[in-house]
Amino acid sequence: MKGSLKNSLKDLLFMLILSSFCAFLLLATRSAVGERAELSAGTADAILKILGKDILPSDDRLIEAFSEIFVRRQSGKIKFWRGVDNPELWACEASGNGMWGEITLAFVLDSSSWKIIGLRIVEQNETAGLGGQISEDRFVEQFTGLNGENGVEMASYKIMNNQFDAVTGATASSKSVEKLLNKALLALREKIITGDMKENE
Amino acid sequence: MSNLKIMLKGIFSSNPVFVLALGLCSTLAVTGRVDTAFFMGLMVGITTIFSTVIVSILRYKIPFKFRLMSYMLIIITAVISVEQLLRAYYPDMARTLGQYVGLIVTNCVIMGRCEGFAVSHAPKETFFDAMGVSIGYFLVLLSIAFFRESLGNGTLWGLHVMPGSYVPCRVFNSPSGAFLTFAAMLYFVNLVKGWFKGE
Repeated sequence: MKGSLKNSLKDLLFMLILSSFCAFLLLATRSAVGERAELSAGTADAILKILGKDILPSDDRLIEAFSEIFVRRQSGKIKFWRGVDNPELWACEASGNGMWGEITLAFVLDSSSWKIIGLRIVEQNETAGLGGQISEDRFVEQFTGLNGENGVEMASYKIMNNQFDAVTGATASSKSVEKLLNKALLALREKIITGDMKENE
Repeated sequence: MSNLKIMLKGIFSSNPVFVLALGLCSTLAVTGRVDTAFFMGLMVGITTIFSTVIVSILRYKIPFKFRLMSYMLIIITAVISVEQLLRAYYPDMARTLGQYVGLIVTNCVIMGRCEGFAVSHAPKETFFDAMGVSIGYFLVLLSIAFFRESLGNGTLWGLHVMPGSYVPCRVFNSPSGAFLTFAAMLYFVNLVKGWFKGE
């Protein structure tokens, strides 16, 4: 009985040591790759382009340039970065379902006026020629200057300053962008209001 | 058995895909293009070598009733580390491979080598066995991807290799194309094996 208890404790101790070793290895990898694991070159490129800084995605300075302007505040399906010099400046990357595949969009927002500074579609797999047009400038440029405080709205006629027009023949894909953007705006708003942004995650 | 023999055994006579029929899901899923097959083969290789060598080092310490849990813990650590590195340095490739990177955890090749070899051999022998198995898996993936991409798209690693008049046979891009190519290659491998044995 005593021997069996001793063996069980020995096994438990081994598993604890092994788990700690594995956790240490994962932490080491995580700190070695740093921001690169969270931030894709496509998103960094899109956000820097919105801010008028044109650096090639293949350029090694891309992540560095992004990290000089923004610092990460949230990971997951919806990611947030806050401005280093201007804490009112927020960058966001959000991924969600489109009509056929996943859509990833990135936008920059000024939280003092809740104005969207710019939006880009980082990745989409919608129908070429129809839903695929959500990546085109004439669609994404509509979001520049929109008020995002209460979310944006898809509308045929733009009356309010939070409305945008859908791509003709691709209502479902445009609706997906609307839903995804509103989800990200709501998450950002909740985080700012509740003030539970962790300074360092 | 010499280290070279152990390694060659993993590549040919105990090839994980063609002989042991392990890791077939990922073999069929990621061989639509040569570049995805290359990265998948590389990642499975790194994970196999790391996991089996660690299991071999700890073989006298791992409690028997917790051995599968211990293997899983070691494999998961290796897979997550490799996945993080891939996401950081090759984000487009990480997106293309999608969930199959995470599913390396359940790849039977790794678990099979941990339980079948690493647990009863020294780290040096285990390293060569893992190297052989990884090279064998890598070569099979690359050869299937070579036929599927060249016949299905007329390209190799995205570069056009077929003459301009070649009409791509799109069935090779589909899952059924993966099964067809795999079956044809398995038939060919067994035919060659039969010739060598004089059957």
